Amino acid sequence: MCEPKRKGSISRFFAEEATSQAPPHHSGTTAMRTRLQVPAGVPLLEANYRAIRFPLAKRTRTRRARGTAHVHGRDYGCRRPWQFQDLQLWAEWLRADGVLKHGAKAVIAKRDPLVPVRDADLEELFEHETIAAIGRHLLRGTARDLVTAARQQLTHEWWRLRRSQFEVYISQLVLDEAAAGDPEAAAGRVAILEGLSGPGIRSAGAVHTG
Amino acid sequence: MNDARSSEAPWVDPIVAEVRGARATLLAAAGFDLERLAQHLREEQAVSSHPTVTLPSRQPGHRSGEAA
Repeated sequence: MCEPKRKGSISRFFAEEATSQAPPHHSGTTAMRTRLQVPAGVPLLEANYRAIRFPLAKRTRTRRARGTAHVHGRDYGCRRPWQFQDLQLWAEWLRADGVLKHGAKAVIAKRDPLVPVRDADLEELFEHETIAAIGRHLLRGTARDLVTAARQQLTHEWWRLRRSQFEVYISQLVLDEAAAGDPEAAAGRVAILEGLSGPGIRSAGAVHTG
Repeated sequence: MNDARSSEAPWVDPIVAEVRGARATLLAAAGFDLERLAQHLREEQAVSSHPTVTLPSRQPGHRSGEAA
């Protein structure tokens, strides 16, 4: 961790935290568990214990976004601090223009995937408004999984902007799959797929295996 | 903090999981028999409003015919 540089800084908070007597697997209060959405019986890891303390530091958009990402880290598949491998995954789906700063994708690609992301890294890589947007998404909880959200947006954009440039076919099996699941979402999918041609499903003897 | 890595679980994309669930349901309805599933799809295709096409077979090595 960084050395403390000024009173009230997040670095100072971490430095004090590191020397405190707080156990690495703090049992946690009910309020903390509720806020972190950690079920009873699951150890409240040190990372989460720190995450909930983030708002106690001087609040900035960057710190709020990164602190919230810590809290929701388990939604990326594990409980751990935000790392460059997360940014590398995002960068693949993010527009460079207006979201990432110039050259950010190259910087992200070069960094060690397991290195935790620092405040300064976010400010170096992302446009200011993007950092605020990340915080809003995470806090709202509507897009905890930003990779999924980015893929959804990319898919919507493809169907809106690029679909007409391709000759698209769909099989009866995929039509059936699209019609299953949540009724409202299924109705939307079926409406989009309406009118697409389907390759004929031939009898077993007529199938080409080449 | 590194001890948290030991608790990593595979990440599941909810949309992929939903599609795979739908596929499993369709397969289960056909008794996990591909012949029955194909027969069911052919019957649905016959009454579907979607036009049906027969595409030329693709040859290995012809990238122009491959899906993106």
